[in-house]
Amino acid sequence: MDMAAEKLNSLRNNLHEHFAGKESIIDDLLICILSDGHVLMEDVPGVGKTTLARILARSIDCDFGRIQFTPDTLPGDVTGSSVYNMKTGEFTYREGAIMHQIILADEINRTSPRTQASLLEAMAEGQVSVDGKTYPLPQPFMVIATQNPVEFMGTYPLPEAQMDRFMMRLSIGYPDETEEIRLAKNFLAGKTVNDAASVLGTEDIINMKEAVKKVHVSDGVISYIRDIIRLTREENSFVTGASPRAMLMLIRSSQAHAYINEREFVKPDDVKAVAVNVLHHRLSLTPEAKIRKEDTDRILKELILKARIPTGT
Amino acid sequence: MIGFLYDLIYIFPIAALAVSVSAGFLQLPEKKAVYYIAALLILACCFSVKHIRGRLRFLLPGISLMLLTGILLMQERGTLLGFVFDNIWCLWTLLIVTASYAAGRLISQKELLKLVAAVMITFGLIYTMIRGPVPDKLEAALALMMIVLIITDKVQLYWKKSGGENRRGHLVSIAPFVLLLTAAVYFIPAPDKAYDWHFVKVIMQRISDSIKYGNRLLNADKEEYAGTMGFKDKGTYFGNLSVDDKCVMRLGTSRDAGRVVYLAGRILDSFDGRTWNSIYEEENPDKTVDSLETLTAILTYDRTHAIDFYKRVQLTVTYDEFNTAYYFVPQKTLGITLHDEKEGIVAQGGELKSIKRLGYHTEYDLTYIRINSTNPSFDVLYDNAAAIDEENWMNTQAAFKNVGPPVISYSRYREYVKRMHEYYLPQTQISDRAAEYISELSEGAEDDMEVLKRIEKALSSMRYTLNPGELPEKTDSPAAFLDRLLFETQEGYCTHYATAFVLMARSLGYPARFVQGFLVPLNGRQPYPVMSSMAHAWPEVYIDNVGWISFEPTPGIKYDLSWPFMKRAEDMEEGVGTADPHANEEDEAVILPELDEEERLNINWHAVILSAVLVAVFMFVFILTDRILRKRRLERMAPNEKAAVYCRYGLRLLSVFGLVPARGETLEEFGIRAKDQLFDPDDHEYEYPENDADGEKTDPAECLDFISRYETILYSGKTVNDEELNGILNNIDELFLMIRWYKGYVRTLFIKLKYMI
Repeated sequence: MDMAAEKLNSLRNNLHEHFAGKESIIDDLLICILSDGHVLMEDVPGVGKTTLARILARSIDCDFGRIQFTPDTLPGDVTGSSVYNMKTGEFTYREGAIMHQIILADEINRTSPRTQASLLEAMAEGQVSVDGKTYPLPQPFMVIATQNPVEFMGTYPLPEAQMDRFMMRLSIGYPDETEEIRLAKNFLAGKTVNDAASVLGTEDIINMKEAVKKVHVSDGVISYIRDIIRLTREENSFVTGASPRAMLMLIRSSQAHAYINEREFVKPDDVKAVAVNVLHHRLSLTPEAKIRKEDTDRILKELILKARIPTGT
Repeated sequence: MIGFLYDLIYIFPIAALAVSVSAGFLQLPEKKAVYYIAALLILACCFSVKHIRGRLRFLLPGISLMLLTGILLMQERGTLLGFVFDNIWCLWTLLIVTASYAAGRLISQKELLKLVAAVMITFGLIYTMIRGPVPDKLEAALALMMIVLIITDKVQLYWKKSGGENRRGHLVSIAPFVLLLTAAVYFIPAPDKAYDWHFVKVIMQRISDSIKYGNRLLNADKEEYAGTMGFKDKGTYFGNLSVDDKCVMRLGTSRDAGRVVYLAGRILDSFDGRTWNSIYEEENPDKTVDSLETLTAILTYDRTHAIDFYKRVQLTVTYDEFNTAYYFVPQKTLGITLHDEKEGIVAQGGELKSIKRLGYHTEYDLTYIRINSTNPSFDVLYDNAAAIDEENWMNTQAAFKNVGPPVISYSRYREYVKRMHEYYLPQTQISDRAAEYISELSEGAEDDMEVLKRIEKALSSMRYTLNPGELPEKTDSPAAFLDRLLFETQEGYCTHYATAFVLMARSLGYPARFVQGFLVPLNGRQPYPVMSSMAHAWPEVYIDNVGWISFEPTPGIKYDLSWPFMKRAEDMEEGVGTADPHANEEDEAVILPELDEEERLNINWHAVILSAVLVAVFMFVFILTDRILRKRRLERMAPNEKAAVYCRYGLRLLSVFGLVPARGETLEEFGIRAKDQLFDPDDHEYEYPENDADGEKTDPAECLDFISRYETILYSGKTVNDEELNGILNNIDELFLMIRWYKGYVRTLFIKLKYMI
């Protein structure tokens, strides 16, 4: 555990050094990658989404790919396709943009649903199939998809069912004063992403993932998680509540949160810390709630407070 | 709580019914209340055992048993068995109540039994109503209640099954019960009298009366009743009367009061021809002396047959629409008790006056001597009136010691006699014509008493009128007044006649006086009303060694106040009733009832103390055993469980400081909050040692470590080791130190008891 703690800390520090923003984003990102989950980032442009993804990839010695979605991106661009090789006279598989360990899927809502589906399907399956042949995706594999929350004209918003596949929804937001000044200073000093060193290898990540799966979750905590899920289903302001998949993802991310806090068991605090991010994008407000200008985050926080903390009494 | 109440709803009617029915069969002690209390106690014990959790459930039964033991131990050896057998109803009660409890619980649990019970009760009711014995109202009500309850329960079940949505359907299914209750109310026989809200009416009446008459007391000091006798406040009178009819008083009397009562209020002694005035105003117990004088005369003359001459009567007088300064009492009043001590009483000028104005709701009791003076046989007293000597005088007082006032000495009596002559026998000049009239009347009379009686008869044969006209100017002396009445008008009302009589009696040398009051016929039901129209005036004459005797010269008043003398032994035939006719009666004349010794509350203090001690010992032993057993159970627990118990204990202790986990607050967050609140670095109220035994800096917040340890126990699934367990225990101890520091030693003890593991 101590070794892992050291490694985690060095990873954190590395990320923090090159990325100007909240530390919690770094932790959340780590949680996602350690939980086999994918991240949906909703942000205004220019806050550092690409930078963050790149730095993450470099820090853990993973290979980085970027897909810039446009309305005319084809599924084949994502998954890869068979190309006829005139020399050999056969069809060979050309890898698509998805064959990287860390993928930044930029502006996923600008592409057609077919293309979206191809990406999401691959995320879910862990492999792509082209012309009847399956090609597994590399490990570790994480997709960071971005959406621009401001522009909705001419977009294909992801349907809820597809949103459900993302473990967390994160929002970097604008950095605070000290961070932004540090950013400026780094810029002037000429620091780039390429200066970031790798502190961990892919095996480390894979081992950590295994360790996360072993983090103990007591019955009380399971009930607590379930209680939160139940409350979202009973809440009138939401069209539907959280799904069982959401519950599993919440469990896993709680484990990851406990792990990165150097604990071997999950506490309700872990659940509280990740719940909003995990559940936010799965819940949509009813039209009445929208008219009332209610905020999903606020409602979620209240629901979490309502849930019964397991105290063993 | 709901479970307990639900059971109660079923069990209580059954138990009450059983208890009520069995009360008729068992041999119960005199005080029925004991029976009901015992039944209630047994029922409470049953509930306690069933519904209270933990060992505390045996507390109430234990206490009852201790009390019972105490009571048994208090009985004397020999009588113990007898006592048990006398009170065998206790055992029956125990059986009945426990059986009812069991039955009630069974019924409340099983749906089928409910139906069975309802059917049985219905049949039982119908059977007893047709064949008898008819159940009393309570039992019938309880039985009906059971039936209605069961049916309602069934309806509720249906309501629940149907989803509880159909409001109308529910009301429809409830409607039959509403109808049933309405029908029950309709068919239940109503009492003949409508409920007249008696209690409320009495209160309202009292309030309105008090308000109405309250301000009367504030008004001028008019003697209101006097107007109806022709007396106006300033003394002019004898004019025409108009009578109004207010109820001024009410009288309650004991037996032997007779058919009328003369209530005397004001006594006047000097007449100037137009007005009566009162010169004599000294404070003296004249009424008492008068009563004693008459009693002495009677007892001296004929003690054995005293009952022929006088009777003792008790009165209760309640003022109503009245406003006066006087107490109205019969002339020979022996003792008077005011209901309101504050009103105060003064015997003054032969009258009983009040210190305060009297009015609505003044009440007093009195004992007076009613004398048989209108019985002709009474006259022997006058003939044989021996001079009252000191011995007789004091003997009379000895005989009446319980009723009379403090002893009046013989010398005071002699002074009284002098006073009577002095004030009530002033120089009275009457006209010659009147004197001649009197001597004509006296012709052939044996004694003066007979003359007086003839005068009385002569006056009462004149005319009674309420409108005799005003006194003319020329009537300005007693003589003129007398002449006018006797020879000119020969008409008037009580005031005229009483005045005339007094004048004539005085002319014969008797002290006489003019008394104002009420003549109250005792008709109908008690309390007898005294109307203002009953206001009356009459004369009284002082007979030496006998006392004041009243006369009735007013025409039209024909009450017979006498009672016949008892047959004397010598008058009766031989062999018949030679025994003293009064032998069996409590001789009222001499023997006065002795007050019972105040029935003292006989509390057997030994029993109480013994029972209390037993109860205390039992409770102590109970609690001690409970604690020991709990401790043992705790020790035997698995380490995780044990540690969890202690941690929860610690959390409860934190609540002493007002620290309670908020809604949705995790233990970690709570711990942080507790630490901030308790160990605020800026607030050094709690002094803790800077360094511990090893010389290291101590951190007082360490005592909250048990919270994170608790988290580990709850969420990590690992077992605690001894070190961690000890750590938790140390934390608890440190917490206690803190509590003791903040809250003091005594409160810490209470806290230990309250939050004990």
